[in-house]
Amino acid sequence: MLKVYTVCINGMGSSLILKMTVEKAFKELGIEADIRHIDAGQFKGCNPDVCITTPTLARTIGEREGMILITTTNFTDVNIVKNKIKEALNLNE
Amino acid sequence: MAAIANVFKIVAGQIELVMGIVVLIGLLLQKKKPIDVVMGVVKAVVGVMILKQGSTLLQAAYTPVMEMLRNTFGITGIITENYSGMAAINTAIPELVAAVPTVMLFGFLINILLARFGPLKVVFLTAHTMLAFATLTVWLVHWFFGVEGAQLLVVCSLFCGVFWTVMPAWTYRYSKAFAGNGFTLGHISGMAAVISSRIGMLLGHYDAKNPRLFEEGEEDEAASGRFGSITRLFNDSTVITCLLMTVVLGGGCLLAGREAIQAAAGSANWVVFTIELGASFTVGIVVLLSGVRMMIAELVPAFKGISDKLVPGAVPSVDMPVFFPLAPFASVLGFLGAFLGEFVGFFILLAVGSGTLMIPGIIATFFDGGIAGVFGFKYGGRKAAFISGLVVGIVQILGGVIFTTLSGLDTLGATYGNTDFGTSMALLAAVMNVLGNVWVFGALLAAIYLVACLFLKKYFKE
Repeated sequence: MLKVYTVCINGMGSSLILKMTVEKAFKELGIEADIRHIDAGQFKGCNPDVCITTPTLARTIGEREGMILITTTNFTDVNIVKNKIKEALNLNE
Repeated sequence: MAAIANVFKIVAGQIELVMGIVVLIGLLLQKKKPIDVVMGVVKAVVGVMILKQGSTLLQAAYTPVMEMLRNTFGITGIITENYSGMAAINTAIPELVAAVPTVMLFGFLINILLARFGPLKVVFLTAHTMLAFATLTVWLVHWFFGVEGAQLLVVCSLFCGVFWTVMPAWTYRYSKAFAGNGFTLGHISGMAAVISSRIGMLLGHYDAKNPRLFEEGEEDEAASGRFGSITRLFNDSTVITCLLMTVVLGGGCLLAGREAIQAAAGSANWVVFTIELGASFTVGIVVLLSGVRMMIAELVPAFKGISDKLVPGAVPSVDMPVFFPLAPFASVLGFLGAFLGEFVGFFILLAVGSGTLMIPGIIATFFDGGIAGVFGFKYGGRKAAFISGLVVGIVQILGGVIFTTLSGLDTLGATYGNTDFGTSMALLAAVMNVLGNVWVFGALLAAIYLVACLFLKKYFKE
């Protein structure tokens, strides 16, 4: 199962909202994923397959080997997030 | 019967048990699997108990500094930070605070009903803010009107329901133009967005017939790069809280002098004691937030599920950082402005010899400053972003001192920090102060809602 983290500054409000959007997106894509939300500070200790966050935080987090980093400026639109995931995971038919 | 009534009374007096029941109802309504229900309820109960422990730690960190300031200068120092305020209320009126989860639930349901049947289609989903605000309404309504029990519950729920509908709707009026109709701001900093939009419109010569919105370009990105290390610092809330609170609380200590510090430190070394206060404060915040996080992770999906079912198409009102990516550099500018503004406000209080000193709690400065930056920038450009932040910072301190003194929070040593408390809530507290009757206040809340509908409903028509 794909391990996914959504990340924001406090790991409380925004990342939780994003998590719910990402959950729906993965469900619509038919991909099974374990999705969690966390703050940028604690994310240092996590090793997920996919990390979804804002462009600014992505710069702090940085690219990591074996992790797909997806950035989004929209936290609530399932279609936008779904397309970003499709693109990043090379799911375009 | 008496035994059942007794059990009910005991359960209703424990905030963690009430929260467990509220989450239980939420999970059952979502028809979750039994194992998920058990896990959710346990996490909600444990989460609230962690929150209580965090509150104790937090208070232990700032109380000695406040006492030093009082003993040395006769000044009442007050930390302007939501969770410090919430912790202080939790300690001061533990039996009444047990009503908070129920107030949250009913407040949310009122919000849902208003969105379902009224013109303002917004649903408040920032649960940690709902918790902090519900706690505050219990304090305010009890402080001004002395009510308890069912009366307290009803009026607080109405208070929350109206606030959670009107403020996001008001913000939506400004956010819709650049953030679309997918979300708006759901926080106790809605006034930061409103004020900043107005400042932006003024400085950007906004023309309603020919609206122009500012976008960040390459130049902003380059400038953002120069601020890269500051941005990184601010992206880690533990680090930034610790560094700034060390300055703030340590500074308070140093003002009081070595003898006073040594007396507070006991057998510990006074230098180490001073330096570690900020870190102790941060420990309190981190513990408290981990409890809140655990609890709301169970609540928010339940709230979202209820709202999707009952009010499809409503605009979800979410936490502040959702807006930062829309103008990242402006959010940094806004924060820098707000940071400066807080200290301007602080020194104004010092200069006029105020007996009550607001001690900047930084967290609200950071987030509200970011919001001020984004809204100010969108309507008025870079200069407006910084000036909006500056104004928001000053208002947080100077308006906040009015709110805090009127609402009796100055007796607790901590208050709430966001912009609404220095503005709309300060005004409301002044009105509550002269009303004298809790039902008149209830009617006032209804009137506020109706007036808001009148002015804001047009923004919800497609």
